[in-house]
Amino acid sequence: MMKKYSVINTPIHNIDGIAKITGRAEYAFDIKLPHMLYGKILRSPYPHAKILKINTKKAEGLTGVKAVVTGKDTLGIKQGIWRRFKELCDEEILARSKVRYIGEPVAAVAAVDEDTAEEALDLIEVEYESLPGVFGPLEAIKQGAPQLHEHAERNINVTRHIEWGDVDEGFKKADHVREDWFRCSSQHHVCMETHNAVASFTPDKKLTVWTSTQSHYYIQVLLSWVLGLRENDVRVISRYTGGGFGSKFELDSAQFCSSLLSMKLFKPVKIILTREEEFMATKRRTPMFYYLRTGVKKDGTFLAKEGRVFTEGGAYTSMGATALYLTGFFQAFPYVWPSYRYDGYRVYTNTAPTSAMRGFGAPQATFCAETQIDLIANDLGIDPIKIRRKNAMYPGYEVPGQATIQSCGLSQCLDKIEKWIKSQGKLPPNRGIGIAAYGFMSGGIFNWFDTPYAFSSAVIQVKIDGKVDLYIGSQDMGQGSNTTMTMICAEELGVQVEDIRLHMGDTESCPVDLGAWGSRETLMQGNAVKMAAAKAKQQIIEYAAAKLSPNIVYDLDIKDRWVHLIARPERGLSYYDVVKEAIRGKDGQPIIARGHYTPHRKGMISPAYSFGVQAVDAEVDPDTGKITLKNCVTAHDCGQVINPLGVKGQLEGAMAMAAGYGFTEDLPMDEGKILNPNLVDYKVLRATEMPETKVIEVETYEPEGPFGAKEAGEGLTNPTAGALGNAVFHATGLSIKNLPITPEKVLEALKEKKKEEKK
Amino acid sequence: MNLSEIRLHTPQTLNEALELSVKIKEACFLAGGTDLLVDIKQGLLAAKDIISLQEIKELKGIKKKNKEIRLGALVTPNDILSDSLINRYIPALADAARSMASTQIRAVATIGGNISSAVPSADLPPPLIAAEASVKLQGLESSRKVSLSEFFRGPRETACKTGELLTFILIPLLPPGTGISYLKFTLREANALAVASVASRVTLKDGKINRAAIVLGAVAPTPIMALRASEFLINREPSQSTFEKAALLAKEEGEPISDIRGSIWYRKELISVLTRRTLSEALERAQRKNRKEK
Repeated sequence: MMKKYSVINTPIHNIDGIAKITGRAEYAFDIKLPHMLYGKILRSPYPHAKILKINTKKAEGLTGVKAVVTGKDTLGIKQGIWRRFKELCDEEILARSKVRYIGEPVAAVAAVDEDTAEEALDLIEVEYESLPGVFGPLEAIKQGAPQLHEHAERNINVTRHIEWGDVDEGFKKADHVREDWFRCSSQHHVCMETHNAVASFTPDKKLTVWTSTQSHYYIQVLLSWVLGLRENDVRVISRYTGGGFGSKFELDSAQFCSSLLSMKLFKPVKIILTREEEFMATKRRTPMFYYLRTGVKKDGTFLAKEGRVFTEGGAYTSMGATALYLTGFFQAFPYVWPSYRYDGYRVYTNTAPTSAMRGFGAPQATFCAETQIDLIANDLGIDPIKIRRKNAMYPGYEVPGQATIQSCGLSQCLDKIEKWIKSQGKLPPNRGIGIAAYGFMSGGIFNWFDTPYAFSSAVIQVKIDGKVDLYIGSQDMGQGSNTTMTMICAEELGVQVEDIRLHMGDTESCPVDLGAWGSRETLMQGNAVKMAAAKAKQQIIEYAAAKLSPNIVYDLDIKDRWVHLIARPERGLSYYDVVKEAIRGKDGQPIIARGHYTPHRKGMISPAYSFGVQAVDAEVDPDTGKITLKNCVTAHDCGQVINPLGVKGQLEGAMAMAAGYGFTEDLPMDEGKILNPNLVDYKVLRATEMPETKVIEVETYEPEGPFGAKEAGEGLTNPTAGALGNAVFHATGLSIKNLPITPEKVLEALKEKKKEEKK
Repeated sequence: MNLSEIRLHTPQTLNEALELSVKIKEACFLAGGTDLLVDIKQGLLAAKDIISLQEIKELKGIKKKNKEIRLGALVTPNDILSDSLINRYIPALADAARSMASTQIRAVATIGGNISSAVPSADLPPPLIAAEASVKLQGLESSRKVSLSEFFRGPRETACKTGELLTFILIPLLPPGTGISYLKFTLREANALAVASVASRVTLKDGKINRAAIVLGAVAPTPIMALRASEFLINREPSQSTFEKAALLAKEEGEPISDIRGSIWYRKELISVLTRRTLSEALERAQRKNRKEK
């Protein structure tokens, strides 16, 4: 009997790991071309102002300056990633007449070096007429508030409504109804590689852009649109991307301005954003004000839920419209709600635009939902695990009108976490364990981008020596999709990882894929790769069958480079030998196969969902309010694990990011100005804050995924803030509904509580 | 500001450095550069000339001489935290150095710079003030010794005059029965500025507190001595309730501001907690020393 899998479910290091740690991986950051110039971007110091005049004369006169561009040098196209909806394409990137947030680009300079370009910025004279600004969604939606865009009355950018069941009837039947308000803060992606691009426009009217992105295809399409070029006259190369987390699949100012400057000069132009620009003007997680009303039976059975959210949109739509929908959808996750009503309002404000960030609206939803569930459990005297188990989603459950859940290991995850909690025994004082359950999508079904292509494609070419060239469109930004795709290809084709040579990150040679966002790569690109590999394998098997001439009732397969009869594995041929003969037999043509994937009839959101439960064990210092994380244990259902090491890396990374969201990271502002645009004052977690982490894999089989695999990594950002908040609740009896849960907020609540108790 | 346009001078001796600073009036001294270069890059400081002190050997090293420990201005936090003299005589200073910034910064920042920058949240000044340290200010013609408690005049303002350079930090050997403790509260364990910090010192004699100092950091324009709280302790027997009362007094002596790291209210709460905790640890250290030296 052969092992079920010879490649997948074996922990391997990322295939590009050695190139990265030895510094040989070439990021756009590293690109240097002959005659290359350096660009810098002038940004608005005002949160809201009219641009009256821009005088670039002095800057152009500075020695070493080669060109200055402003909005006048553009086609004036309002672009956006929601291409199907014109009113949601509202961002010019180089503002022509009005600026709407501090940091909005108004001009760009190309010069012989960065210092000269920066000096030139000071010489550009911009005359502004400052306008009154509005900074929070609750103020911006009021009648008479300053209006950002002519088309958006009361600054309402997008609204969303989701409803099923009879909500009012549900509340009538409820024994217990709870209402809570929550405030979810912003968060920055803090990619190690800041946004950057090298653009080179050549006299044959072709533009090549090396950049850091989550989707070279999106950047190709968006650039060609705003620059008036044909799609395939723009080539985007992104071999390595140093972190994305949702910040790098829209067109950014480095890509746009370097292209514009290069087109003017016919010389390569490189723009690298500074860390400060990165914080000020590259978008961020959406802050949300959440109102939740929930009705349950005495025994904890969920009956009805009503959610209303106002999100701080910032100045432009970005990916915020998707976040608004997903937060509403995941607010009801991962439970069975007989009735649910959601109304979301995304409101324009004079702040840096808010957009996609790992979890895409779901971490906010999960924080509010899971905090409230613990409060309800506490009100009713029910154990937090029990109330979740009672209402948990299950395989085959249909979210009315929205989605069908196929595989779902949520109940098993609850069992594992319950067992772990019990194993901890009684905790010392000021210590508590909080849990949160969550789910997430495996790739979005939405096509607001309006691509005519398949969502994912792959091409395989098998060469004479058995080496396989795999061409994929997906983007590895550190999450490990290159390794995942290589493993899927090797497994399906029956070879080993070393046999595969991967080609990615180049629009010229790779088939289209929508990119690395919405946790889509493993399932969507994975299915395309698997299909291509299966087709290539079929061609090889056909030749082997001719050679082995088995009884027609026998099936052939390839495993670990051995082409054999499945029922009699000892009867077979070497993969290498068969490939050689097969190519000879095809009149010398290599074996080529294509695969693709587009979801059809899979509901509104995603073809498959991951699930999990996380427990956070935390200690609270009652004198200072300081929270120390002790343990973080996650039971996790991502279907069939492809690379166990990859999943572990994703879990630890997500945990660090999500815990930061829970208690240290924030973007405080004063009239639209971010007060901590640096890595000292913006506090991402360091090794010193990381607790022990543990993953318990609950394996399920997802029929829609390659080998049964689903999302693993983004969804893991969802539970931590809620679990951490619940840990504080169980340690102190205090529920903080305002993220991040800072020591000051905890101490304030502790003092309040003491005062109340004295009364 | 273009760093490439700045003239860098690298004198080999202290005298050369001082001569240069007289000759080029606007020049800045550079020790570790972890504050200076950032300020220049951010346009907070315009410097045409920088006099690097890095080559001046006499400003390096930690020595015990007569009845004091002498630290050169170029001593780094890494030097301090691993030095046996410091760990033996004033471990609180090693604690403060260990708590600073990040591995990289601790390797290049200097004690001279940490003091001269006069940032209210700096880590090294509070334990040094608690230890009655002073600094030597060297001019071309003369030099003077200034008690560190009188050195700070305001945020980024010190008693150091143009033409003078802070060359050494002098810590007197503490009388037997003395313990010092330094604690700070930060919003992250590493690479974070203090929201509030406290250094406490107690010297015991015949079971009573004979001398005491409570120094507060990050809660006033300069590090400040909580005088009333310190005086309150004199001639009292150390106990938790005594420390509790001193902590409440110290809390009222801080003059914090509200900013992104914490509000006035929260900083005051922290002063009281940190005062109590540092006093307890200082006492423990004082008693430990006492025992050893008997």
